Amino acid sequence: MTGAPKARGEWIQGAADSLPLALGAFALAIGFGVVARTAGLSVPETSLMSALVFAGSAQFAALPLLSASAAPATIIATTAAINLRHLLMGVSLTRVLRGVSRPLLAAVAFGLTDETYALVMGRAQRQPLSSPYILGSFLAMYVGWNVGTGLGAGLGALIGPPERYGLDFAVTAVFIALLTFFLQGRPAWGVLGAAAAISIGGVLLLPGNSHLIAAGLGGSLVGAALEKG
Amino acid sequence: MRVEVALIILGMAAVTYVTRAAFTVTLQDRPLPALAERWLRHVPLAILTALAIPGLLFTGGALDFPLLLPRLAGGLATFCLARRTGNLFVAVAVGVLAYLGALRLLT
Repeated sequence: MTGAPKARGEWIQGAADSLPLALGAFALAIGFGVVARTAGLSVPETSLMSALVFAGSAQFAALPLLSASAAPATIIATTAAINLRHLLMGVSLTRVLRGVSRPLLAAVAFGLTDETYALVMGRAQRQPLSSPYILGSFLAMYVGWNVGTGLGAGLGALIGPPERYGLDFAVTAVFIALLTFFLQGRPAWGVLGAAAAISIGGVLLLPGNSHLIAAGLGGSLVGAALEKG
Repeated sequence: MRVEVALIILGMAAVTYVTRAAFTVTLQDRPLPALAERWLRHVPLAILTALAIPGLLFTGGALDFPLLLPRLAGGLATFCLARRTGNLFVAVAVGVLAYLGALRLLT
């Protein structure tokens, strides 16, 4: 960790780089707030979920289960299954983030969404990664997700689900731009091809978002195998 | 607020946090076998690909034909600019403009 002015710059940079992702999360969260209300959650319940769980796909998946009064264990197990991919992201994050204290890591881990993971790994590809950068990204995502949830839950009935004006595509574009930072050498193209094929098959054949973990594992193993040969 | 719902939310929060923190906190600054390091180097690209490709092709698990061409146009523009300039902001901004332009032309 370096001095305070540098750290502040890193916070801001992390938040600024996250802007398109945070706007995407904001728009998605309005939708989440609206759907949660129609699933029978109150405004405080909806907001509590976004504040504490802070995981888009798991939260969406919980809604039909909650409105059907599924067993709490079922809902919690579903959440765990959907979030398994974070284990893989967590391991890979530790390879680029060094010398950070445990308490700070515990905070960083809370904000380890798909978006922040994607952004910080792209950053780490080009320069040393700092924890303030990650926390800046987390903060932007957290504000976007929670403000959006509150708006959707509180006012959703009035404004209806949002027109997303290319915001959903902006999030995809950020992922595409970030992945190009990794495209050096033969194994990388193999990873790209394998992960693309597995994710397409996974979306069509596997439940929920398990294509992420399938392609994350399969693609990276292909990369390791190609590097050897 | 219903107590049972609050408890379920707490349980969801706990398991989510465990998946995010388990390795992040415990494996930090710990060397791994060379084979594992070689594997882990490729995980970010694999996950980024799995985040990007379905967003390009699918909406809610099905091919989205009305949006397919605009998304491919925007995705191609983003990809080429990111490769050429290495600038995240420029690549995304031009990509979104290409997407919106193609959307307007085609619908």
